[in-house]
Amino acid sequence: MEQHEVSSNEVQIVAFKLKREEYGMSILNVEEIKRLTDITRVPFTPDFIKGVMNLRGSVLPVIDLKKRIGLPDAEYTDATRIIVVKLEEITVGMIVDAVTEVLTIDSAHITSSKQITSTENDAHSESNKFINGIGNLNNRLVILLNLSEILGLNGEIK
Amino acid sequence: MDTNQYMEMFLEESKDHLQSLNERLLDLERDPADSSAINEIFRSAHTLKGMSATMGFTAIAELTHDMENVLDLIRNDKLKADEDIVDVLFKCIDALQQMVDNVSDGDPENSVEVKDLVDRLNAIATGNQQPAAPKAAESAGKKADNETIVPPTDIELSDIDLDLINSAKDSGLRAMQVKVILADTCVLKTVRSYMVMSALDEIGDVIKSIPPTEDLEQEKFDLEFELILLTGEEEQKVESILMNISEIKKVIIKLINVPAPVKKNISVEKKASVPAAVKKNAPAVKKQAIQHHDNMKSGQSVRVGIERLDSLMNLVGELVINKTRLEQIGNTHRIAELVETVEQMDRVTGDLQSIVMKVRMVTVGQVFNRFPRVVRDLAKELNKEVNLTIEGEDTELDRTVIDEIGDPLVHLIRNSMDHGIEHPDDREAKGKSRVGKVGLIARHEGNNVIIMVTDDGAGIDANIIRNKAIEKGVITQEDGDNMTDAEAVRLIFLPGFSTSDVITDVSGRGVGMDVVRTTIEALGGVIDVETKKNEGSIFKIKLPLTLAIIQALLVDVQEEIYAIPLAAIDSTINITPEDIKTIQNKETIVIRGEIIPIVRLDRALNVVSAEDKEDEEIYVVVVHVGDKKCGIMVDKLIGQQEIVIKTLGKLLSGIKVISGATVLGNGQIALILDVAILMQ
Repeated sequence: MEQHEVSSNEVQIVAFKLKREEYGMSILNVEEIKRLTDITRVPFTPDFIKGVMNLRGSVLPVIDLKKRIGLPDAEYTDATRIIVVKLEEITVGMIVDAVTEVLTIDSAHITSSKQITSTENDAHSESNKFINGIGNLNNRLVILLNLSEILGLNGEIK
Repeated sequence: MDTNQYMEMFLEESKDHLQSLNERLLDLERDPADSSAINEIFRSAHTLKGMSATMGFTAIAELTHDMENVLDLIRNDKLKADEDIVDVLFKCIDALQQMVDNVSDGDPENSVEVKDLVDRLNAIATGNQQPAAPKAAESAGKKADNETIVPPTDIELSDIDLDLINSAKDSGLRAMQVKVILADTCVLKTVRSYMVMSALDEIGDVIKSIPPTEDLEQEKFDLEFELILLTGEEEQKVESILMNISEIKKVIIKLINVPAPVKKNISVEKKASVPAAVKKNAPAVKKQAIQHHDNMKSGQSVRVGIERLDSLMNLVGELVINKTRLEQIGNTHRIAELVETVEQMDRVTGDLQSIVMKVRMVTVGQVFNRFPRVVRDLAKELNKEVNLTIEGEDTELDRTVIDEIGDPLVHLIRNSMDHGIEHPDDREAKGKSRVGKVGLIARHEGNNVIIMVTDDGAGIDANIIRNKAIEKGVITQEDGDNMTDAEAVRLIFLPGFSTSDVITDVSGRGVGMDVVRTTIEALGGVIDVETKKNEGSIFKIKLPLTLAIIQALLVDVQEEIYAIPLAAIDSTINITPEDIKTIQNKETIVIRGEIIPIVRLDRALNVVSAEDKEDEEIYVVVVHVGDKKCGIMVDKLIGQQEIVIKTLGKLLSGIKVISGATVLGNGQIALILDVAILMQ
């Protein structure tokens, strides 16, 4: 277990692709990763809510992550995956273009979103509120997502 | 003996026995001559005694033992079950309940103070005996002694028994009637009876027992039982063998002399096969007993933890998904055999799924059955006369809901009796019957289960509530003035309103009503109240069938599948586009002279329509909510099916027109329509 003992400065990230960019979320929020399955459309929902899927008998809402954070739409491919995410008793599936790997990043290498945007004075602009920070792993940039914003836990989705 | 592994069983079974004690004691109170009630009470108490003694809970065993003494006197008509006695017995049950609760909490069971109860029990028991017998237990023993003088002749012998006895005699065996009386301290009676049986089996054949073998196995007998034994041994030998078994108090043996059978032909026939018949018959008797046992078992139940059911349900879900994959493989590779097999598997998994779902359902009767006792105690406490009626106790609800609903209901019932039902004299003055009525009613209504607590009491005075609420600062004077009476009455559900000091001065209600409301709402339900002055109040709890199973019609709209609850459906009809008439810009159809507005489901749900198919046949599902009717236009009717309602979850909870979702047999999800919302 010694070598797995992540020092308090390190975080483990599930990295995945949306378009060409690499994104990540804390592994602690990831329940499992599934292949794309049947998704049932639910009427009267925002367009980024793809619908609901069957996860071993329970009904799971599915979010199209690209639509959610304002990236252009694209066809689903063989590499498309659903990451099952759990945050504060809410479990949802998130559609991503591909899951790459689990990364360990030293928190010293994470630039928080405040630092990035403070100079531009648009810290709360629509596209940036979903971003917690950017991890830099030997010049490989991973955008870390703010899951609670994405799930609208702050009361946006109604 | 390691009793830990039996602990759970003990607790569960004790609860059952206490419940049955409560119920039957209520019956006995109503009709003191009810012999089946007293017998059942005795049996439950006795089983409880045996179980607790085995588990080492002597306090429970001792209390039940003392109860038994009194019960025994009642059972033998030596004592009348009057109010005092029933009261004491109820208190004993409460004490036992407390002890069992302590055991389940890991506390010592003997921390409950029962000395008073024991004294009173003994006083009741000894007060009705000869002064010579100081202890009830001894008197029971005495009684048994007395009974032994009566010759044991009451075994009824059937023709078959007679034949057996006769043929046994012909082959030199004796038929004897053996009466075994166990020591009254005997706890493991079943074990003793079993030892008796096996001892006798070694020296002969037991052809009959009273009570029957299965009752012996389940301890459904008192301290004595009788057997008919066919054996070559002498009576003394048999007696000494039996007396070697511990805890046997007495054995009485009597030879049976049966007159020679009248029907010669049968006896001749039997004679030919004498030894065989005797030998064969003994196992046959046993076999029959075992069969009986099985029958009993099929009606019995097994207790399973809900989390096990959950994981079972998940596994079944997984199985279904994999089955669907196999199906796809079969179809893509055109393997007929595989497809065929999968089709059969499909049926099995479907059944499996629905059974697993059903297993989670329990009837509300499980909650309701505790209320007769609650009402009885409360009526006594409040000096009121109350008659409780229960309806719809076989309505099924999900187990999790059942577990939660009990406390709110107790609250409502207490409120109805405390604040609703008036004192008998007041009722008489108002021209009502002295006996107040409290009703507990459950039924299905559309997608919901309705549970109502009704009373014919004083009703809730809206003005008092209004004033109290203003005084408490829950609402402003202005709010209060603008409120209708119905709205004012609903104030009782507000948190600020229902503190206990309010109740004492208000003739209305309010004890923890907000707690009731919160619990109900946590279950996804709503509570409402209707009240009429001097006519009573109705508290109506509406619970969604979360996880409940309903019958639904599956319909197809542009390849999307929706479920419409069957309870809301009147009929389905086939129309052509010409049948649709427009009235004030609204599309309607006429069915049997009735004008019914229609809703195009694809438009109502913003379904992306692939193509317009105006010229085809149109299917309309006619639904109703209350008296209002509406036709829902769909593309195809798929069929009727039992579905399990699941919530869409917190994230999607805002969507009104969808009341839930269900997982279809192929793993696909179909949404359930809320017809009432759709009609608006």
